[in-house]
Amino acid sequence: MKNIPLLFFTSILLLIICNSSCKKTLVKEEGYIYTDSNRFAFSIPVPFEDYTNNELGYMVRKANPDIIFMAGIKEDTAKNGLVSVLKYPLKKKTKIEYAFYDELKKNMNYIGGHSIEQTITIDFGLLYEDNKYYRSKVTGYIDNSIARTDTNFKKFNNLYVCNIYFYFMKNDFDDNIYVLKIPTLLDENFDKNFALAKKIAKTVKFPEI
Amino acid sequence: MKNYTKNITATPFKVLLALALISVLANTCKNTPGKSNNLIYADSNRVAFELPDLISEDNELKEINPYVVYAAYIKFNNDKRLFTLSKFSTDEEHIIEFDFVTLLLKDFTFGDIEVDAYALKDFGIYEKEGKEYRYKVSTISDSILQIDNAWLVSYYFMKNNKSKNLYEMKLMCSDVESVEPLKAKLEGIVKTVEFPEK
Repeated sequence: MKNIPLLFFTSILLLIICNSSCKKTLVKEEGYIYTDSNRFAFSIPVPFEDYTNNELGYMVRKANPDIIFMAGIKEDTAKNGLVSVLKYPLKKKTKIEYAFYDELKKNMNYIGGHSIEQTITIDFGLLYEDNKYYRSKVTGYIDNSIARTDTNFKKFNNLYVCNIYFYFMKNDFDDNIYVLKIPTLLDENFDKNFALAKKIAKTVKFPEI
Repeated sequence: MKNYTKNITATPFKVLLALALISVLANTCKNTPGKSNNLIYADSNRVAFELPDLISEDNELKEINPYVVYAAYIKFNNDKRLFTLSKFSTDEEHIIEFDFVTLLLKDFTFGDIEVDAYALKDFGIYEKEGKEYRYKVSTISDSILQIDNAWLVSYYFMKNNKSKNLYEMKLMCSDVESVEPLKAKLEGIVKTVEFPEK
């Protein structure tokens, strides 16, 4: 009988130790890329080469510390494909809707300056697939000296470079927003790269650590 | 001892009776969406709101624009302004963000509407006193309607923030200086919005 309190406390201690050690052991899913100290994970469903820690990746990350992952797509279906993941810290915990609107307003042509060359938002939206919402934005690099600020990107010729963005936030409420970015040309590669971005977006998860 | 026993049996009965009465009263109030002194009921009593400075209701606009479920002239800065409540419906139930972005920002910005005729100037979401407000500011020009660069200020809301119906409250002005006062006016109206239980 005297040993009962001792047994009780030992069990509690063992449970605490087990619980904390279990949390630290993250079971990584095969084919998944874990970034930002395992806080953000996703899969790229096509062959790719991880550039994050090579010379190119190092230089790019020095120039833009928000980049936490970058890879080159090794498949013709996404010609010139370069996938990168960025992480933007926010001032405070916020709902993804607030952060998404702020991202959309960054490059809206109506707010943007009047310089000859500028980046404008040419498309954005919420996709609803498999009972989940996916937030996206497409920006284009436009030269106003040869084209008016026509916001219907289908009317752009294929010389314009653009970026496809998808936005993620843990539990849709956090102080960090993750951005999947794929640059592409506004030609036949656009649809392929957008489809690839959507495929990657669908694999995104926030592992419990 | 006798009295004590009597009291403890009588108290739950009284509590239950009181709760039943409260429940009946609450349900009675819920099922009576008739017009009160302060609230205006629109869209077959699905939505209610306070509309201060009301001058007169307009029933003609509803015939012209099928999205409009209520229209009225209100007094604003010693002037008469047309206030409208519109409803946009979809087949599928979505969160308010989805309809706000898809129906109102994206389509109007990238749709077939001429860029010169319509321009999205600002939009966003903010929280005030525990309530969220979604708004849009745009300009429109129309030679047929003889509107030249008019400013439209709109606020959006949805029952439980997830529904098939998105409501829009709108006021128009001719100068950019009136945009902020109009936003404040609409915010005050949206603040009073209720969705009566049918």
